[in-house]
Order: sequence, then structure tokens, then C-alpha cells
Amino acid sequence: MLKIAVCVKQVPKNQIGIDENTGNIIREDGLNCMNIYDYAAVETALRIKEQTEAEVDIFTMGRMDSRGVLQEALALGADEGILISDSKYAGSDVLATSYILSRGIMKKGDYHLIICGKQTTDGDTAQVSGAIASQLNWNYLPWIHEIAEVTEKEITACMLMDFEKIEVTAIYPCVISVEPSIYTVRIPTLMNTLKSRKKNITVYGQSELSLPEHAIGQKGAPTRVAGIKNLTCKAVPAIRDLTAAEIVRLICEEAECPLESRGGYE
Amino acid sequence: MEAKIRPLGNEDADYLQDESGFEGIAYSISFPQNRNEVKDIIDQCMGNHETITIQGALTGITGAGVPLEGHVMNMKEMNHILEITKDCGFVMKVEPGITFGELEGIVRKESNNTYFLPVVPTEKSATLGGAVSSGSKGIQSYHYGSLENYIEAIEICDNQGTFVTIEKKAENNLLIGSEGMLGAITAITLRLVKKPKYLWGIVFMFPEDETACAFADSIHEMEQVMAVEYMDRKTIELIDTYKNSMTQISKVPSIPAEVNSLLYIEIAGDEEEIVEEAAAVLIEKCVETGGDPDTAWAVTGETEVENIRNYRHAASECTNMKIAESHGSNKRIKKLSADIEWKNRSRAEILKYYNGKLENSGLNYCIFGHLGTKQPYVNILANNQEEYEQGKMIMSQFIRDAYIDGGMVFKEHGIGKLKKGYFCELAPIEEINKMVKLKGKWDAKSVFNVGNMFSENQL
Repeated sequence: MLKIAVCVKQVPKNQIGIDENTGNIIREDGLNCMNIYDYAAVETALRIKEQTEAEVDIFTMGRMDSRGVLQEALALGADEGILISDSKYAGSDVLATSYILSRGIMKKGDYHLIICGKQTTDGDTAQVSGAIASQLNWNYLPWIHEIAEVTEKEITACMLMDFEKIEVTAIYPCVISVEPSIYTVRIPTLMNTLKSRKKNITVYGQSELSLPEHAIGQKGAPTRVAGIKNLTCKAVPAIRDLTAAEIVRLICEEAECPLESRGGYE
Repeated sequence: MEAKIRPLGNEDADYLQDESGFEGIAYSISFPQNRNEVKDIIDQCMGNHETITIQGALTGITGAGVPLEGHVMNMKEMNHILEITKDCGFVMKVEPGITFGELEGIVRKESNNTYFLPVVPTEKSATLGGAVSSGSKGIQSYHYGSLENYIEAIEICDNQGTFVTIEKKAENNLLIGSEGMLGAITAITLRLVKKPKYLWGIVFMFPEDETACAFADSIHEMEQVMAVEYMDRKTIELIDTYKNSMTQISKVPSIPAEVNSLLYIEIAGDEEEIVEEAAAVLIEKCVETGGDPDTAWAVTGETEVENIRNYRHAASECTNMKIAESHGSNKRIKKLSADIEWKNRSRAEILKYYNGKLENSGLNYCIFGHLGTKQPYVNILANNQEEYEQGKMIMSQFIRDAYIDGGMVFKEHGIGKLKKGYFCELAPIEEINKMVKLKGKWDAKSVFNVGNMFSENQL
């Protein structure tokens, strides 16, 4: 049976602002919700489940109150929810988060496919899915806006690039990130909502995952917020002709922000 | 002191029209920022023998805040919190221009999301002052009753520039629904209530009205039920035509074609198990009354419930957009709607009555709203002058029959200028005289919101 892991995240419903000193999000109204992009990931997994009778497990990393987004995904029709939560994971950036998530997923089972949303509305990096694939050394298909075929061994999907669409086939295990436009997302049924209340949520913390402390939380996060600035938009001609390093350099110059080289990341 | 009054300019066109499409005229405008400025404006207008139309966010649908002459006093900049007391419950004194969206955010923050004002319109950009003036309420009025239950005091500035505070159990009930005709509200003191910890929003779908009504009847005694809202097939189709252009609901899946009747139920409580039990009871009742609970949608928590409420609110928005299209091609076509709360008819009889009258007429129409409190809104969507005139006749018939039934005819949206004709022609003389007497007592010179409810010669 095909086993699918879906990564979701709890985010503030209304992003009030960003603390200029710390770079942290100011969440004054206290209302949280599932990251809007993650609904497409859950829906994609459920559509595959309906076609292939796959098993769909939902993973989230965050505070204990993040279990609400797992319950919501269970109400949509997922099979199991796994919350990865430990105070030692606080302050994780893309690198540390993808490491912790990938270890949590591996501990739970042998999955064929991991599905992520395109990005989150708080961090907004759109990098975690690719980083998970990198951590696991799995195939990676980003920007998926259509699933063409799912078999026991591989998935064929259409990638929505800036200037073209590409149909690709990836052999499992594989990570995909899906565009919000991929499907209209369902609303949970009353029956599933009631059933989901009876499902247990598995919690993994550091005592279950035993991850090296230098790779998790702030210690495992090379990202440092050097400063926050409001920038005016500036058109950059022919950005598609630039390399990634040239684009980063350009951004740093515009932001008057020093480009730090950390081993292996530039 | 010279009041902040300026001549009305071309940029002020938005202040001459409300959501109904009703348009008016005025010669000057002001945006007071505090009670003293309100007094100054009133003093100056009185000195100039100018009438004053007080308006909020103009989300009303009867033209009550639309001026016909004189000066417009828009209250949107009077949106401050004046006082919050948490000693005994949660009491707050606010200015009338605060919107329900703003109020909700502040209460959530100040009470750590433990208190709320339960009777709020689905239109969050509406102002509190506007809601008090029109007597509007929200979907949870099914459980929590009217807005007046949560008002401790109202401060009003009369046409002499005198501030009068009316405490609860005195005359503030008279101010609620008085459409700005008695004076300018300058402060409202609200007593908020504890917010239930758990909230569910459930959409039940039915092939026909009879089953939906039987289900609504069967859950009437349930303590956890907060709201029972209805939507007919025509409303669903109307929303579908505008859905893609409405960001907040564009992602809501389509309602299946076989669904002709939709009920949106909210249940809430402080214990999760009790709310879950209530949901299970709803399933049982749905089966018992012939419905299929397998097709029901359910969302839990404030954020998700808000998304479904947006769909319900889209019914009002889309109706107004449809009317605006017809109004655009023929200015004489205006909103034709009734918000009657029926007394002696069952829910099924109310819908059958509306549908019977309207299906035979061949007119386009839709029905949605508070079925739980026997107050579904009926809207006639006229495409041309002939249909509009025909629709007006049918509306008159509805109102006439509602008075015979003993129902509350102008219950929520007010009378304003659009329904004035019906009120004056069809309401019992005692009801009209009550309002005329009140106006005479508070505003004998007829300065405020001239043209609402009745004509000047009735004073």
C-alpha cells in the first residue's frame, strides 16, 4: 500500500507585523490556522488515497497547540496525525526544521511520498520541501499543479515553471510540493469531523527522536536575522539570466546587508 | 468654535449611496472625531437651519443613512474605545463609528479571547452605531437575542447640542432602530458575554425545503444551537455567479446540483464533549426528519467557522450586486426585500408562502437568512421597470399578510427611505404614531435623518 506523509504548519491567521529588533512575527490576536498552502497538499494526498487506497499521515512541527491543524487534516480524511514538538526545537530555521521533520517522518514509517504545500504564510521561504528531499536524499518535484498518474512505483506530475509546464516522472521515494491551484480543497464532512475527534495524535519530542543538539533549534539554524528593512520595489532586468549566487548578492547589495559565507551554504 | 464642515465634493460620492443602491444629495459633509466635534457640527447646522443626516459605514439596505438634503455627518472617524472595565464581567464604552471588525479584534486582545459581543451582523465593516440605529442583529441572535440585551447605556447628542445618557431599562430600546432620527449617538456602553470555548459550523444539505424545515423544527430546543441559517437553491446559484470574483469564498467547493435547501447551523459550548454530543444529536435529528447527514460539512474553531460565515454573508453581498446591476441600467430599480419575523406560521409555511407567491409571478427572487427565528429574507431581483413594479405589489402583499399574522414586519434592516411607503401605508396607525411621537419628543424641529420612516407632514 502506498504510504504518504503530508507536512502542514500552524500559522497566525492574521500576521500583524514583524518585530524590527528580533525579526519575530508579532501575533497579537492569538488566532491561528493551518497554513493556507498546506490545504492543497492535504487535498492532493486525499485524492491519491481515494484512487489508490493509500495511507495518509499528517506531520506538523510546532507548539503543542498545533494539534488543531492535525485534527483539521484528520477531519478532512487523513488517517493519522503526528505532532513533532519539543522546546529544544524552538528557533529552528529551514535547515533545522527540514532535518527534524525528516527524522520524525522516518521514525514513523517507510513512506513512498511526502507532500508539502508550496510555502507558508509566515516564513514564506518555500524551501522546506526541497530541504526535506535533500535531507533524505530523495527525488524532488516542486511547483506541481497537476497529478497525471500515480502507480505503485512512481508518480507523474506537471510542474508549473515560470515560463513553461513540464511533465515529469519520479520514482519513489519522492518529495513533491504542490501549487495551491492544484485542486479545489474539500470541506470536512460532519461524519469525518466526529470520527477525527476519536483519533489519537502521536507526539514526538526529543526523547523519542534523540536528535543531535547541534542540528536542532537555534544551534542547528545557520540563519540569523541581520535586520528588517522596508524596501521599495525595484525592477531587475533579465533575472532569469542570473545565477542564484548573483541574485543573492544583488539582494544583499540592495538591502545593504552583509553577505556572510557559512561553510557549504553559499 | 468653527465646526469641521466642508462643502460636499465630487470625491464624496460614496457618502450619498448605501448598499441598497439608494442615492441621495447633500451640500456639506463632516467627519467628527469626538463628541465635542459632534456638538459643534450640530450647533453650526442648527444655526444655519440645515438638516443633518447621520451615517455610519453605509452598509444599510434601506437608505436610512443616505441624505436627501443638507449636511452629512459621517461617524466613521469616531471609532475610539473610551473605557474598558473588567471588574465585573467585561464592559466597554465605545464610540459609534467603530466597526464590528475593529471591535472584535480589540475585544479578543483585551479579553484574551474569552469575551465577545454575540449579536453582530455578518457584515464586519458595519459600524456599531449603524447597527444600533437600524436594529440589526447577527446569525447568533437565534441563541443570544437582540443587540439591546448587550447595551448598558447610550449617549446621544440632541438637536440643542445637549448630551443625554440613557441607561438600560429606560428608553434606550427606543433608540435601537430609531435610524438616527432622534439625535447623534456619541457613545455606546456594551456588556459583553463569555465566549464559548468550542464552536462548530455545520452545513446540512437537503433536496427540498420540507425536510430542511422539519429538521430546523426538531432542533429548536437544543441548548447548544447558536444559529440556524437558511439558503435556497436560487441563492446558491446567485452566489455561484459571483463566487470567482469574491476572494473570501472563491475556494468554497460547489454545492451539489441536487441540493435545493441548505441549513447552516452553529453549535457551541465550553466543553468539547458536550459540543461533540450536540453534533451527534444533530445527526440523529437529521436522519429522523428524513435528511442525509453524510452530506453535511462541518468546520471547527473560530477561524474555520469564519470562512463558512463568509459564504453565508455572500448571499447578502451577491443579492446587492445583482440589484446594483439592474440599478445600473435603470436607476428606478432599487432593492426589494423583506425581513419579516413571522409569528403564527411554521418555518415550512413561511417558505411555501413566499415561493407560492413568487413562483407564480415569474419574477427572479431568492430567499436566505434567519430561518431559525422564522425570519428568512426574501429578495425580488427585478430586471426591468415592469418587474420592479410587479415586485413592489408582491412586497406590499407580504407586509399586509405579515401584519395579519402578527409578525414583526420591519425587524432587522429598518425602514429608512426605501420601505417608508410600505410602513406608512400598511403599518397599524398606533405603530406609526409611536414613532411620530418619539420623533416629536426628541427632534420636534426635524433636524436629524429627515425622510426616514415617515414624511415631515406626519409630524
